[in-house]
Amino acid sequence: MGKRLILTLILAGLTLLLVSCWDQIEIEDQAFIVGIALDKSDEPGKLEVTFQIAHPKAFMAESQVDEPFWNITQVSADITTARNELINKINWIPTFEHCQILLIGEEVAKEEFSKYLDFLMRTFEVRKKLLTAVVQGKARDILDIKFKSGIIPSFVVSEILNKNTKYSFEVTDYMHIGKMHVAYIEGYDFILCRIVPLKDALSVSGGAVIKSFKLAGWLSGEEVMGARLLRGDVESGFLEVKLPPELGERVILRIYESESELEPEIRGDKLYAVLNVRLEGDINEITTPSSDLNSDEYIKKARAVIERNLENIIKRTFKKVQQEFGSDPFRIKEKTQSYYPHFYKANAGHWDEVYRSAELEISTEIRIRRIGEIKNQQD
Amino acid sequence: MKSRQGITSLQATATVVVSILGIAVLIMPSSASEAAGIDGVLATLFGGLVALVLALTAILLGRHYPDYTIIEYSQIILGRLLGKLFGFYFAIYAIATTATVLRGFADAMKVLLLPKTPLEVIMITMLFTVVYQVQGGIGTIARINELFLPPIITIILGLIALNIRDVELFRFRALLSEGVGPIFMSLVNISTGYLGFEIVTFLTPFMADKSKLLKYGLAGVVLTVIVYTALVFVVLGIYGNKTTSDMVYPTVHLARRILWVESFIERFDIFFLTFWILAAYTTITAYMYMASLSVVRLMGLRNYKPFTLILTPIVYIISIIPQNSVQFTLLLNIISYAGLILGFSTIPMLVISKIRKAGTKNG
Repeated sequence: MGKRLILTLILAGLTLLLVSCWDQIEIEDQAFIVGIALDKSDEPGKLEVTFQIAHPKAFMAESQVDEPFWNITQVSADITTARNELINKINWIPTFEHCQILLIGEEVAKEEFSKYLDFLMRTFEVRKKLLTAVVQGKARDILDIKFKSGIIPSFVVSEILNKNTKYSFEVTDYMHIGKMHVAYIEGYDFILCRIVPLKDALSVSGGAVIKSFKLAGWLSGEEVMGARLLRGDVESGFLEVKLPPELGERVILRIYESESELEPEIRGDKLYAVLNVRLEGDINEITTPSSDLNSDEYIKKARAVIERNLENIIKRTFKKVQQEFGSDPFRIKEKTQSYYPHFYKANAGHWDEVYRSAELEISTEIRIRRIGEIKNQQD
Repeated sequence: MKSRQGITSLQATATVVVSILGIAVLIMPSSASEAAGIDGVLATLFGGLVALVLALTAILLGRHYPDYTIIEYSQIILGRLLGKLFGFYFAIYAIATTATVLRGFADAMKVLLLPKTPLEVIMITMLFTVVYQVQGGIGTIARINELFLPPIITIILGLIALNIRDVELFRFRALLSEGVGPIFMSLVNISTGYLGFEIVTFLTPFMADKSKLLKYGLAGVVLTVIVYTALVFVVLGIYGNKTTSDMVYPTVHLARRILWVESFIERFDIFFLTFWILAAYTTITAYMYMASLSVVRLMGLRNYKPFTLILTPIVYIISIIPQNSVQFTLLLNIISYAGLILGFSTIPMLVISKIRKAGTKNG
């Protein structure tokens, strides 16, 4: 029995020797890159890559750090080189594992920026849902803003994109690095969120239409709403519509249920984009209503006005993006490939012409469910 | 407590499932979409049916010789010389597959979890664990498989469930747009993903109730068909066929997509891979067991345990031969087709043994 005990002890001791962690890096030794900003450098062909590094202690609750984050700007050819140069400057090991956001400066977006994204698509270090936005101006400025609602700017921006899309039609978080990989492989266009730097603040609204990884043009907040309806990824938000004088001044609807589906259709040899929109909401605010809100007639009239208004927004957006930018972020190409693979194959050579001549057909249905607490009864 | 080693029915199912689920879990969606495009979903389903038929013939064949493994009854059916050659082929295949799966496992671990750990260390630790397990005999292997089956299946199904919301159904409108051609052409390629079902040719003699292997063994294959088809469906539905084909480890991509900001679930891939190690481990164990047993039975000996140790360095040497991922893929393809030939070989053997039986009855 004694022999056995000794053997067990030896084996237990051996396991201690055998177990080791080659890959262990102490958390204090890591520089967590939480945000990346890409700007054009004055040096030709080079980028200004700004890394936002969070202090490891900023991740821990109840810890007070004087400086929770800092930004390091590196002028280099691409993100990987910038990261490697960063190693020479700090005593920590940079890691992208907790990277929240990639901000692309306007100037960088204007050239084909897919070449800068290869590392982010290829590496296993960055997670696939790394959100991406285009900054109208210098991307670095966003990372320098001091926020009251959160300590680290990268977290604030990614939270805005992540959460606020559920409450506003004018913000889109549609693209992340995983989806950009798809766009890159298949040659799809897409819309990135637009961030406008203000003095000590920012505004996230509108979008940047990206055609073959080049900035084709900007969309306003309202146009982003149109684009999101066309793309079919709306959730909930507010819809503001001007009313004709007999109904009131303007109405704001709070939409809580939304459904929109765009389907391509081939009639003859022509491509049609058929959009069905169905929104459901309550009246949130209405300025100087001129008749009884609690009547079927009023609701019907208001519905018609709002529906027409919405259709106009969608049509304007479609026309602008289709005709002015010649871009298809509405996934019409993608859907035609699946709906009508033979038609697509036959027309793949001159797809741009087919798309440009495509016509949009909309049918909208708006349901006003409730009017709130006030009936506005007229005598 | 019965001292007799006997595999229960459930253990048989588990053994079949975890032997099939190995490195193919990581690459199945991209190989399916590479072979058949969006039709890869149907190809995975029908490829699974091919595997099901092959497993069925193997089990039926085993029923004729309930006390033997394929190494022995192939000698009865094909004659001594041909049978020995077949057994030799099987042994080589099993050894090479052990090595390939080991290498595939180590490569994935190095890329995804342990970038700085030497490949050799990953492989040797895994190999020693496997050898230790195989020394325990088929009873132990079956018990471990039974134990590992729930976590393996749960993590894969969990991965599917967490991503299924993002599947875009419109992509599947292009199904069959090229006719059944692409599916038919890719069946052979896809069914290699189901290799591992060969384990049924070794199970019959060890079953506690031999008649149950048919039902429970096939149930195992059916389960993997469901798992693989669902996996391919989700990946293709999210990424489309071109992007899926472009990925090295599409299943890991699926895991990397999962992110709940509110509940702080990030990097689900590490969680997934931890459980995937179990799947790789059980697959290597199954092949190592088949390799040692077939070598020993080929020599007409009974105790395979010393031979496991003899095979270990051979397996290790084969597994370090590929110099890069391209060469590894080549090796993987070679052994996959070698395995498929083996899978199909049970059909003529079954026919021969049926004819013989009929002959003995009449004469």
